Amino acid sequence: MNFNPTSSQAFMLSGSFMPMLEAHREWRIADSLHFSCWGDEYVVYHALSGDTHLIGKAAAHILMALQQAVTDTQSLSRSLAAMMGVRSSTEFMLEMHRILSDLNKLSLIEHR
Amino acid sequence: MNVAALPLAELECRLNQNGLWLRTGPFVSRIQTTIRSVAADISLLYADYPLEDFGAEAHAFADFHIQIAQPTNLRRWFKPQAMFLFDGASPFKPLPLDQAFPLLEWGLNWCVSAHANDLLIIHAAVIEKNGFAAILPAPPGSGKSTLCAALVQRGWRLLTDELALVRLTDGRLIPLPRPVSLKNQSIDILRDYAPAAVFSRPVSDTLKGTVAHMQPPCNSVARAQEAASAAWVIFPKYQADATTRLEPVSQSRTFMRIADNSFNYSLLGTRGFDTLTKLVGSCLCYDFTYSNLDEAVALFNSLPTDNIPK
Repeated sequence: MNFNPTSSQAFMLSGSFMPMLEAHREWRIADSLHFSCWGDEYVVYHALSGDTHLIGKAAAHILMALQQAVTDTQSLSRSLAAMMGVRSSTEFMLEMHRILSDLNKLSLIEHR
Repeated sequence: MNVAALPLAELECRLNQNGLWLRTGPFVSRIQTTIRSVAADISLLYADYPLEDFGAEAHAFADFHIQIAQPTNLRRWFKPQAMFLFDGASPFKPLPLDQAFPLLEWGLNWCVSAHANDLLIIHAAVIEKNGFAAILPAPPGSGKSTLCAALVQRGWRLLTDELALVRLTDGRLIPLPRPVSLKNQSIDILRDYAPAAVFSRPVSDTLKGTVAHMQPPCNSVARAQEAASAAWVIFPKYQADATTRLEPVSQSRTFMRIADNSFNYSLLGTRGFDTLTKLVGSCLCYDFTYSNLDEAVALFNSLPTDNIPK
């Protein structure tokens, strides 16, 4: 589903401004990921593709959460907001979607 | 027995016939050639290197079987060439005969980088002092070899000028001391900086410009079986008139840059990732800009050792 930030019908009314269908869509992590962490930066190696990626703390938090269990976007957002100590604002949700989209493009996560 | 123990005539004879079994670090190369300038440069630059003394045995073990030969085509009469043969096959195009010794050096590098996949191989120089090794990864033209040559002329041990070999089991650095390759202005800079150093005759008009090789210090060759632990990863960059400066780089960014400078990181898969994680995790990492060799060497001599990660 494409995310159109100008369409009010696409948003939930809970104040999180998350596309309703996207909010409950579940994500799972790709197989065979390996992590190294130094400070707030992580290096991720995807053994199936052979690719290595440099990612930040937020993306790493999402991947670690998905390593524990398949999780939907809304739960991931709550978890990330709590970790970062921020409220789930529109700006936060847009950033959340950007990170999920990037991780998906890199084949590090996928929809269940 | 070392190469220096062979009179030049005897060295030429071995190279002409069964070959010279030359040990460089963990590798033995069997080298054959009839080109006299190659024999002379081996005699000059590899004088301190041990021979695996199999001169009379044509079937003794060698990691690499190498010939520097002259093609027998018509061109040999008006534009003679030298070709590099590995196991009897030629992986590269021939070069002008004048470039026969640089061709041997480049070919030896290729032998290691294309075949030694039981090690993580990084395009980097490595030098060591007091048990602490510095890895200097850098692309061509960054001043890596110039800096490396200056440091080994001021007491640092040469592990390699070109190919850092990282052991997969423990992340330690395996020495591969070979002649240091210098290009263009660096040749005269090093001649002025270290007048006692031994250099091969400069060869001009190569793909890299004018090249010459500097003999590695005898002590570095004698300690070629002593692995070292990495303490620093330092990305050098020569910049004319720049102030000498050392700036920290995060370990994660260092990881990515070394992976980009590695010959076989991708090939090694998870083992490459684990080995590089261990290596970077044990090092302090910096960008280093310099223009003055004395200042550069002084800075390297003052690198702190008390805060190196364990």
